[in-house]
Amino acid sequence: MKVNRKKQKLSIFGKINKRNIIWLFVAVFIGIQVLFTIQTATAGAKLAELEREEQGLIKSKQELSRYLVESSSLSEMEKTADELGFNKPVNTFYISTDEIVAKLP
Amino acid sequence: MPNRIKIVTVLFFLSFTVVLGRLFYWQIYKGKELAIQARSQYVGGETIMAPRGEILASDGSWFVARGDSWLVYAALPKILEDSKEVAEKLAPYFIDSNKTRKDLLVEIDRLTSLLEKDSAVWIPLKNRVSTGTKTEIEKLNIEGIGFERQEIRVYPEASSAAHLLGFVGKSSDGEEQGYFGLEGYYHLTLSGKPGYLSRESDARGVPILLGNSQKISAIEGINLVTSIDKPVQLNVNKKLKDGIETYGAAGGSVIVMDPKSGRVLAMASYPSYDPAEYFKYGDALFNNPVISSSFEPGSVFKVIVMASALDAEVVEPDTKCDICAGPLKIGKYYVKTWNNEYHADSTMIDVIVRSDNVGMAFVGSKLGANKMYEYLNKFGIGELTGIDLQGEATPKLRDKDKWGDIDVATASFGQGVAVTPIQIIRAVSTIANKGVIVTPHVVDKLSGEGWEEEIKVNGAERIISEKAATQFTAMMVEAAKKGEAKWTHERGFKVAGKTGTAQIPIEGHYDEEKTIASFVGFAPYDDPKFIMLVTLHEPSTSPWASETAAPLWYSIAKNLFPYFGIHPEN
Repeated sequence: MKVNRKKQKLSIFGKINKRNIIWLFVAVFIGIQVLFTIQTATAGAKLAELEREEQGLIKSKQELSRYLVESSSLSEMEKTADELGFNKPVNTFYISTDEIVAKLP
Repeated sequence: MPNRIKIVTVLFFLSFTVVLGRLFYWQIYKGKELAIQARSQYVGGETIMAPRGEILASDGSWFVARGDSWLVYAALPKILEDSKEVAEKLAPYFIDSNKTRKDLLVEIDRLTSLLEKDSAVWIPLKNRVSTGTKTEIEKLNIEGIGFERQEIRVYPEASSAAHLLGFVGKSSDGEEQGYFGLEGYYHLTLSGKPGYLSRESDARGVPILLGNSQKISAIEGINLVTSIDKPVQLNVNKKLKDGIETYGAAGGSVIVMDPKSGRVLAMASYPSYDPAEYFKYGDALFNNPVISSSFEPGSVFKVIVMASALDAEVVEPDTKCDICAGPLKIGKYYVKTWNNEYHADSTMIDVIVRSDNVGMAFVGSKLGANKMYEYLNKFGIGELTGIDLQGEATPKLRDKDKWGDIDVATASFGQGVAVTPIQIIRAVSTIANKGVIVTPHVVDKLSGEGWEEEIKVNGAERIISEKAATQFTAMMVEAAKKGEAKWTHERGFKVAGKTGTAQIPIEGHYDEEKTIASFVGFAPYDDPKFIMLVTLHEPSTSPWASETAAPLWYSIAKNLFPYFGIHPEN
């Protein structure tokens, strides 16, 4: 009788184990699925955030480029120089290389 | 009890039927329509703009840069305020600050009529609105008014190189299109290729990564690195403007080129236009006179004919003209000198120094029609120079078998033939370059993110001997020192130059008063750093090139000498 009971318990455990394993797999599968879905959704949001940042950086770059282009305008620089009282030299004096210029004592 | 079960069963059955019916309605009957609607909600597509390439000076600074502007639009169903009120709020931002109240009212009317359109849901209200104005409009918080980014061209040096650069307008399809100059010639290179992004997103616009997506990246336009020297260009532009005022000319142009390589260093013409607001100017101003306007060159053409005669060895510098004692009669025509003074037995040097038409007719007769035609062809007269600018045109050279004696005689002093300024400077640069002709060009390199590629230009070709070129250079040096323009000659500088005063043909005869004055020269003559052609149309202070174009040439050259490190002799 004792031997039969032990066999019965074993078979019951055996049945329970199989079911549990299947349920465990299903649970893990669903968990992973949920996890991936959440991660994907988060990554989408992160991507959108990165795109927003990229747009911001592009905008800043454009602003800086515009500033650089405006600042490097020789015409504008010439106007400013004129306003500040700078004049272009009217005459150019050529000095012979043989002559000593600004010689130290 | 059984009745209650029956009732519940019937209710269940009815409910099931209703649900089934609704499902049939939504899934089958309305299925396609709803699928499209749903798809439009979560699938979005947008064009990724390809930024147009920039145009740079030889030092890498900008001639044309990319800039931002905004299209202001109205999403009509979202507008809650009265159309007139919205128009009144927006109109002040859409007109120039110097406009009158009448202009403001006209703008309000225009906007109101746009906002009241029944057939539209999306209406563009104003193009090219600046970022500053956009910010101001945003502060008004008008529901239904939105902005779309537009790329514009920014010209930091304003109109100083308008003809050279061209402009960007719209094609008949509403696409960006480069017109004239570099924008037109290099349109495909500059414009790049737009990309496309299509993907699924949720209600908040967050992309669904597991959904379908497709991205075709945009290919940026390529930048042009030109040979234009910005300080030289600005100097030339300013001096030309001043020169036109000083000499009361109707217009004019200046080209500065490196005669050894054909690199154009500066090119300016007046009257001009502002490429940023090209739409405010007439079409007539868009053509670049340097490459598209033909004129009878007058005495500067003597350079080509005399150099040809020296190369053909039909004359030598000391050959004496035995027909120069008086006017020359050819058929029913008389060839006279510009000042009606005649010098018997003039040498060829004298002929060039005095710009003697009779002496040149003598040279022409020695050369003959066939050889003259061949040499003019070699010098590129009558054919396009191949410069990389859109809009180049060339007048046709008279057919070879149609050259009579009078045609040869008049062509030898620059009448009866038509050329463009670029053809003349290219031909004269052959003399400066010891007999080798080069192709003028404006773009040196193409450049993108981290790469550069040099542009290959058609090879140089010897068309006259070095001896002939050197002999003629010596004549031009004498002409600059002792010719009609000697008063303006910059003493000490090694300049080779020639003036040209051409009459303007009108309806079969020459205008008595109007002229085209030009001066072409290079320096230093033994190792030229630059060649420059100045052309003034109808100068009113004096008809002569020696009193208009020549002083303007020297006025510009005076600044170029120190810039190119050219020192005076002694």
